Amino acid sequence: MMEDAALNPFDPALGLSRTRRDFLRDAAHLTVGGAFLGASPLMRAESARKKRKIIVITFGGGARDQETFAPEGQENIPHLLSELIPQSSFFTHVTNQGILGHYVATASLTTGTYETLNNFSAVPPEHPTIFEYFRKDLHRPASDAWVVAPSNGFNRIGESDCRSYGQGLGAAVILPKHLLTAASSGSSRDFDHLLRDNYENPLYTPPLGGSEFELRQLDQVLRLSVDDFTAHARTLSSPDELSVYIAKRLMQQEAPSLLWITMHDIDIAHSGAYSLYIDGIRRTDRLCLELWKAVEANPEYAGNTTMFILPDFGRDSDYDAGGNGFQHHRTGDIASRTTWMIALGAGVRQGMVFDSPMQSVDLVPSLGAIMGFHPVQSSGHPIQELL
Amino acid sequence: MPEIPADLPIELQHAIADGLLERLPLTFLPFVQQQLREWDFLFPNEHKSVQRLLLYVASLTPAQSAALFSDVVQLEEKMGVRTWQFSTTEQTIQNSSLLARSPYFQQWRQAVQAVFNAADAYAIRTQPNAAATRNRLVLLDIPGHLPVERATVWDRWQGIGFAQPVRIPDAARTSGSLAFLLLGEPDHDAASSTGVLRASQQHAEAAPAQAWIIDAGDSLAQAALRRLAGSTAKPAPTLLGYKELDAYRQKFSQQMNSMRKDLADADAVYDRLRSVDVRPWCPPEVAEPSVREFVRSLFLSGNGAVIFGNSFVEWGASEALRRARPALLVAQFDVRPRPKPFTGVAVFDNPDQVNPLPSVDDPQGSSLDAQMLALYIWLAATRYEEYQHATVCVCLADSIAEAYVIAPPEFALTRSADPLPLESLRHQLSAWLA
Repeated sequence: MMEDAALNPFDPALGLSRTRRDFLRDAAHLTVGGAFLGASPLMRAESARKKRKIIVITFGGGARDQETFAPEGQENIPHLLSELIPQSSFFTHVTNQGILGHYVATASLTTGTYETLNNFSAVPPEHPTIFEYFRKDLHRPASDAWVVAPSNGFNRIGESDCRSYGQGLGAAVILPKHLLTAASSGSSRDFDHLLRDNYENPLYTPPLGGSEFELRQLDQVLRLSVDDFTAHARTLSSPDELSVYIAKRLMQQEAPSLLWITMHDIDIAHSGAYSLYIDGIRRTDRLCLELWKAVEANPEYAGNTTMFILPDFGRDSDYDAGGNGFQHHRTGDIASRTTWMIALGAGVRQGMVFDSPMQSVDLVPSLGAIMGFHPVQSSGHPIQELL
Repeated sequence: MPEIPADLPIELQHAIADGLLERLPLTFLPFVQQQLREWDFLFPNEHKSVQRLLLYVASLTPAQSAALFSDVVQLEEKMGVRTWQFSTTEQTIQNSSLLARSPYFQQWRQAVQAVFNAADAYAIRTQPNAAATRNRLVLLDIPGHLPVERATVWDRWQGIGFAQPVRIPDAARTSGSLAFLLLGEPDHDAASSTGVLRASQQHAEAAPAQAWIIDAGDSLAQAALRRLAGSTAKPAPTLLGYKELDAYRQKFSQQMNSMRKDLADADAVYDRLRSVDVRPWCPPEVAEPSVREFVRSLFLSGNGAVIFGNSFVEWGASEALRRARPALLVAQFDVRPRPKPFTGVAVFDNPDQVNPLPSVDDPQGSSLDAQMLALYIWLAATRYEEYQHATVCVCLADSIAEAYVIAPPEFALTRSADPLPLESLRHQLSAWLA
């Protein structure tokens, strides 16, 4: 392969991506792609760009190959494998060279720059986020960019404190668990514990800051009464299910062009219960399909939406002495830094597998090239296979 | 000049008085100062480790110690450590965060490891016997109420050992296989016990903190406590039972949850929890200061030890191996309740208080947890030189009457298709330890 020739053949990360590629080629009958395939159907006329919608799902909490794309892990991701990947471009070799904390890593994904903020603090990203580039460059209203995120710390992820972008140009952030707690206050303490949702550092829950999505907006924006919201929440079994419920509601009511959903159930791994970590992966696999089905069923989205699914990073390998295997992402080893990405939907070449190394910060410049905005402060590079 | 703890070995006191700490890089100070201050809470192996590092540095000329630390110091300069709000007196969450956020973090870790390697090499040169190691045993149990698949249960071990069928006698069916191996026949007293615990206690190098028993439930802990009651056999094992520690865990969790709401940051919570008086919550077997503080550090570590028994066992065993390097480590897994809707996110909450629905056991999930965590305990052991040669690991899966055995060639047991009577296994393990 052309791009393989440029790689260091002794790079262990390459071994991980080859495993994913080989498995996919055998199991899903996908084609291994080169770097130069001609113009992507993504790059279309300006009118098509205006209708284009992008949904990014972070396969949150970090998941390792052996529980996902390695042969022994494939039973945990049946929906990705059998239903989504055959219609996707699959990128086998995505690395995250930044800090391996969920908030800072997700912030880095949204800015296209490795952020160095304190993972356990309520601070905005230093560099402009994709939401700011998108809204400022394309003159889009606030209602066109949304984030659905898992915990308090993510409340500042919608917009940076960059002077030339920042306040008023970002995305509104919905914290479904926080909403649920607010909805339950006064009548019940059933959900009081939901604010303590940070698996990485259970000692601290950052205070809320920034432009908080408030309870009254449930009705105004989501057309959802508090009673209906809490009643539905009681039928769900996990925070990510609640996030997907809210995301689908947003799609119905606001139809944003840029929707970012951060899953987090998988991060239960920090508690050391391997089976619950596996349950989290299986649930996230199912929820990804559920969201894609919602896209296909919604006239605003069907046919013009591109969805990206990627973990924010991996988890530690079983053999790194600095960690405790699947439990954490502290070592910075290959397993914790090397992941994958799925792109599917409008304009994406179906059934392709790409081995070319890319970095997680390349996502934002790629989305910029697709949507027509200019992430000038991003350190990443557009992914050629998407253009 | 920090106050020199009076209980330090005299040669260490002299070295510190002579300015030893001033020769250490900034990023070494939090660890070293905390270890010195908490000397009474350390295990003998940790005393040796700190002494090894500090006396090695003290043995060097100023130029030699500058050379030893040059890589670390250079990296600290690049990282800008002097400009950080970096505690030099104790390890803090903020310190860890600052280090981890530096682009030089991985290089710094390697440079630190190189210093410790040099200290270890010096110890081996100057004290050749320090590296001598006695036979060791890691004994693990996935009890019968956790179902396993015979065909796949040992797959994760990737062929590093072998599966051996065992025959479990009736006497072991009531006490449990692990108790039978550890404590011997149920009707024997401690003095006449034929269990591996007795064998480890009779070893010439038997010492405190050299035998650890960690139980995710209470059956093994209770059996051990009954057997040890009135026993004069010394040294007593370190015994940690998850359920025995219920009061400690729950009080600790309550403190954690009530504090979080009014403190400014994680370090403030961490500091408060480090200073909470936990003595009233400790069962008698955890009264010894080093063990009491060991448990506190487990509960503070964020590894699920405060919420799941099997996580407590795995992390407790891994930390015991790292800190105490026991000759005998025994760990038994157990069943955990199925998480109630939404309480899965509340790692430090008591789900029974959060959600009034009755608890339901999750034997399948617990078994999967135990299978992975048993391997992790063994992997934790293999990280240390003491366990890389003369160590036997036996992991029992009671529900299929099988044991997975990893052993050096000197160990007498060889693979056999015939079920091995548990008494024979016990005899061989005892002989190995003795």
